[in-house]
Amino acid sequence: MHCKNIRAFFLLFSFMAIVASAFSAQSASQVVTFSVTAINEIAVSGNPGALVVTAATAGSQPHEAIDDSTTYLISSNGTNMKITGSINAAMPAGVSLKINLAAPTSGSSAGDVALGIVSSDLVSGTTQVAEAGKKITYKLSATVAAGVVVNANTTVTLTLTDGN
Amino acid sequence: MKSYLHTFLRPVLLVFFLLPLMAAAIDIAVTGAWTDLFITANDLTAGAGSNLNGQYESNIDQATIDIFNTAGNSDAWRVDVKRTDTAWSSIPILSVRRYDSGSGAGSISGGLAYQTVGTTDMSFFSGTGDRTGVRIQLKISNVSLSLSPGNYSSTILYTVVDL
Repeated sequence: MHCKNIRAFFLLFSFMAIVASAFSAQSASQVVTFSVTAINEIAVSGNPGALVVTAATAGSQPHEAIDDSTTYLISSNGTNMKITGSINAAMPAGVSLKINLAAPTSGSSAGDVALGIVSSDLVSGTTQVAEAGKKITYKLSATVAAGVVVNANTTVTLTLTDGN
Repeated sequence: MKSYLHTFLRPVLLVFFLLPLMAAAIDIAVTGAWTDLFITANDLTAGAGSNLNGQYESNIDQATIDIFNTAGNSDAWRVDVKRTDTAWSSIPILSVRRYDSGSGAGSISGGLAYQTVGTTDMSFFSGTGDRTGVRIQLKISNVSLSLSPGNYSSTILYTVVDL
């Protein structure tokens, strides 16, 4: 075959190869989307037992009544969340109710915090957590000035909220 | 003049005759998308204190694939799959599987088990001849509360390769 012909055929088949490769694969696409909403769930295991202040050491204020029989559960996909606490009505004069929440793995506890009708920070800095069985400790104290308080009760509200 | 015809015209004519044959390449079409997955607190396995369901499966016919324009029932092909992320995360794992074989005179094999869709092409399933209505099911797994709230999106690219 003539040299020019060889070159021409070489060019031809190169072109054919390029064309063939261009047509050898076809594609089609499909979109996948999903959404994750903010998830911030908190719950408690139940009500604590009655807190009864009954005893005092002579010369001192009455002893605190303590209950640590309950726990809380938390699920959150948020970052830097906090748990606040409040009660629905002010405690009687001379009576104080404190709460202490054990912190989840991520986060830190504020320790004993006196509850009021204005929310107080109890745990801060929790991030993307799913934990149960975190201990709640209540401490009820009363001064002698409180006198006798019979069958009082209050509702404690724990709120998981953005800590930023 | 004769030399010119031999050198240039004949190859050009050959191209015009052969090009239609080469252009009749295998085609692929995909219908369907998966855009209705919303993960909320209702997906916690046991309410507060628990984590999310780890995985979510689409409908079995979330997408259908058609392979057509093959040269015949013995024309072999392979479908590769990969994803291109628009807004994704390192946490969720996107998987795909062929739910059934569709219909057609050719054959189809592989891809019946879920396989992770990565960002580079990987073989999904293969076959011969035209196949239509091959149902595709998707799965997103490894979802937990470690995944921040937001919208996640990726495009799955199916490529048919003529073997």
